[in-house]
Amino acid sequence: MASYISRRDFLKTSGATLAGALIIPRIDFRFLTPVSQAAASIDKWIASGCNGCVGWCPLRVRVVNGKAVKIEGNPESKWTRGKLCPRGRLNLQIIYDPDRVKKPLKRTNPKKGREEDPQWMEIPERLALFRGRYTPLDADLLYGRLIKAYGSPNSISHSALCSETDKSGNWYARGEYAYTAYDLEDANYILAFGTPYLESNRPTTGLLAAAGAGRRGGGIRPKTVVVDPRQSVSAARADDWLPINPGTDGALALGMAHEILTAGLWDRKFIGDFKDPSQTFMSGRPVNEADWQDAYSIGLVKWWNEVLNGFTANVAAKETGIPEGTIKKIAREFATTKPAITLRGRGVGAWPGNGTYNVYAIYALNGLVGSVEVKGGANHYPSVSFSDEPIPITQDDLAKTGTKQPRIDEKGTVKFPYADVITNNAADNILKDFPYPIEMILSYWNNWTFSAPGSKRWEEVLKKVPFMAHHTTHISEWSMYADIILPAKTYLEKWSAGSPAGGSGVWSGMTLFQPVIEPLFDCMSEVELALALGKKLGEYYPSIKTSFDGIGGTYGDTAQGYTQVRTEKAWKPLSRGWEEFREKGTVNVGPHKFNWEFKTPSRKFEFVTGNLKKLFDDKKVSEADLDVYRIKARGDKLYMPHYQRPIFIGEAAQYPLVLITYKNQLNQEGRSANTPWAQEMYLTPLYGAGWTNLAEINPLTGAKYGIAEGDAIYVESEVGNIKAIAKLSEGVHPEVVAMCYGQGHWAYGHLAKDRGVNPNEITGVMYEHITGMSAYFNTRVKVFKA
Amino acid sequence: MNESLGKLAARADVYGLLSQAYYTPEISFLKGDFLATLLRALGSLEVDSFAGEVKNLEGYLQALSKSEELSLEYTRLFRGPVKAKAYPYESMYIEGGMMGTSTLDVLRRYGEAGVAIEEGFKDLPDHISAELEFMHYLCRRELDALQRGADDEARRFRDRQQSFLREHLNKWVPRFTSLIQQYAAMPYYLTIAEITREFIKGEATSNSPG
Repeated sequence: MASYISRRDFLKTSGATLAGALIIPRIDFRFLTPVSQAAASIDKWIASGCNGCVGWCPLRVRVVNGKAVKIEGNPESKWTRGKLCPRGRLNLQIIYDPDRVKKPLKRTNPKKGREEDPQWMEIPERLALFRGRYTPLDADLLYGRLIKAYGSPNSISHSALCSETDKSGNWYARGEYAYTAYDLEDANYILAFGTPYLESNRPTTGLLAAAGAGRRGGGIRPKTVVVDPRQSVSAARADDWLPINPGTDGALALGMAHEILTAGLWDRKFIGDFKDPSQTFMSGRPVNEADWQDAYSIGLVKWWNEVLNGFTANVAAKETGIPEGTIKKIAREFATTKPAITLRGRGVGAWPGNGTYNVYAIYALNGLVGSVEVKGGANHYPSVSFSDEPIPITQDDLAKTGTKQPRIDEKGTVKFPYADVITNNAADNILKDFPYPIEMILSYWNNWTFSAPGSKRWEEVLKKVPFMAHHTTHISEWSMYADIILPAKTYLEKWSAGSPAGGSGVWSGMTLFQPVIEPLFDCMSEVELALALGKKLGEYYPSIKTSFDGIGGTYGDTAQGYTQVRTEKAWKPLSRGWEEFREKGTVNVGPHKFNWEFKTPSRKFEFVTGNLKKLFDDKKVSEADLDVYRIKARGDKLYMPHYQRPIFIGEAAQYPLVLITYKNQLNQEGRSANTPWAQEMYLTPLYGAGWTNLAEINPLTGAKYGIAEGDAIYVESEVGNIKAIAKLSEGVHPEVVAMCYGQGHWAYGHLAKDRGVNPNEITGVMYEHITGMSAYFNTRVKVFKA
Repeated sequence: MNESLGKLAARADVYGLLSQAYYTPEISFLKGDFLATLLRALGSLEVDSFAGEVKNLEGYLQALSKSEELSLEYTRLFRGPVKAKAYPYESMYIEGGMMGTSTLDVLRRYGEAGVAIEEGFKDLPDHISAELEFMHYLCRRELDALQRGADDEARRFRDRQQSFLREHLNKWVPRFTSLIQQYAAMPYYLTIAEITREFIKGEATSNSPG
């Protein structure tokens, strides 16, 4: 066949040739299709969004001939200052990850467990009909509408594994159950408790960019102090690092409050003053309420009399391990270097008993020095709202009855009085069939078999529940137990929209997610999955049909149509409307308007929380309930920022150390474990190590237990043990074992698998009950050489 | 030359059939005249060393009552879970990732030759099935041009075949097929891989320039 058939030859043999050609069977083209002309080479930037944390940052992607090749911040965005954090850039490696789920898969081996081979089989049909009770979903359509129309009360989100308790401080003091918007750029003093805010607090781009602008922006360079049992990257970058005893952050805040008041350094304009300005707060001496005049706050004198007057810097020093002189110095600096703000993260809130009061005490410090609702303050953020869904949710009798059933996580019970969700509690209840057996789970993107404290319990749950479908980009530990796996689109392949949870500075915004490339595989977005399920279920149930027909308004019942109708408020005011929104990718909202009329019952900034008092009264919270919450205070103290010693899992005599887990900068909320960039830089900023995690201990601790750098050691709690490599670092509190979260996968992709260990496997299960948040940092451990 | 044109048609057949053989297994296709046609086409190319294996395979396929067994094998080899044994994408062998420079070159060649990825395909452009179907297409276009007497056009499509074989298929199919042969447990993929390997080897040799 080497020679080319010439025209002469062809003519000579044409008869026979045609006969030969006839032997071609009709093999239809299946994968290719004729086009009239080749697509021109296209090199363009397209705006879209990131799902790497709940910042939902706007970004821009350079797409060359259909391939995404570069990701940058979106210069249109004010709240991100046009920047993008390193997580957002990992999206390139997530889209083009060969381990992505490419087609719907069906399990053929019914046995479930780590040791079992799931034996997947690709299936042509895209959807199964799901009829079950328990469905952890998390978008308006999937998590809300579909499940309500369907008739299940059980929309279980991951939120109570994230940072729910953080919201409670704002709720007590100022009335919004919400994260705080920290104006880092304009603050002159930043005091961060239990949060590596430069690496992994939301919204990461906003905080990182604002902190950078504050430090290098040409104004006053703020002093930064980080309070954390381990020296995070943020702590290493700070002016001071205070290695506090785990779980005692509330004591530090109270000791500071005592010092600020006795030194006469509170903000009189915001807080108020003695009627006789020469009167002072004196240690150990109550104050007569009649002598005091409130301004925009209420309850300070009660707080002083009940909690603060005896809580000296000396008392705080004994609890926290931070020297008395340091506490006094930090308190005075904080009160005199305005605007000064406290930040706090899950490190202070995810504790049983005292977590919510730690958060309250730390947020209250902002009030004391007048750093609430001011430039450079710890504020609320501008409200970014979506347009209403164009049609109401309709429920048939079955759905009405179904949604009134008790929830599997005990939301709405007095046991978890203000929780939106108690994620981890669902596991124990499903295992007990309480309050009823769960037959079916539809889940998306969650991986609680990896991310929840006591993570192995979830494996038992998934072995027990007869049917589970998982919508996911990767085959995670959760997917390994699935009966059906539905391939999910990555962020840059889908339509959606978002706005940042919490904030940084005074601006917020709406981010448009739009496909920047054609989806690589046979995958759906969450919105598309909800629409498809709604349509399919609608064939059987009229009320589901009426809940979904017309959901995209005049724009069509597609993911694009739904996105367009829900973002109308954002793009309608633009001169070129939707097209302009698509080009820009974001709309700025703000600036936030400062307001000293708060949303609390008293309309003031409350040091004695009316919201919690009303909640406890309404729910008739008894002493027995408080015991369940592990809250020891009684009476009025319950409603004030106060201190209670941390509660641990395991006895100190047997388990002398505390396990502190943390997230690094490139942990894209569990989605980056299979990306080479994230792995290569895993612990690089701290220890120059990638592709693993380590058991980090202080050299004093190492000497005490005969452990040297690089030794293989066991870290053991009441729950179990894990084997890790020891890292000796002065940056770890001597009574702590610190471990970076996110390694120890036994699934999720060939790069993620079998690297390091997962500390959640040995973390015990407890809750901050008011908010339902899982405790993460109160598990005691011991270490010994393997 | 009569024989040559017959061979061109047979080459088109083999490419087209192998293309389909690597996609989601469908029982109706496998039990139809797929193997018989493949065997006939290979026979006319005098590549008949597989006759015995193909006969065995025919028996195996006819005995299959449903495609589940094959689907499992297919998923395990080409899809995962987690890591596929033999990724069916060229760029995995050339650049070690998806949508590499090689993939973009494949896309460019498709466009220049007058085809694009079918919308319903929902897979990558350098999937083995797409690349083999592209060769099938190029062969048919050459044959069609010859039958119309459009020599220059035929030559262009012949050149495209040679270049695509040299720059793409032959660069990865040997490694791809040897991975299948290493991991396949069932005769179907073992035989298809063997046929593909030998066929592409022969093509690359006989299609070398000059």
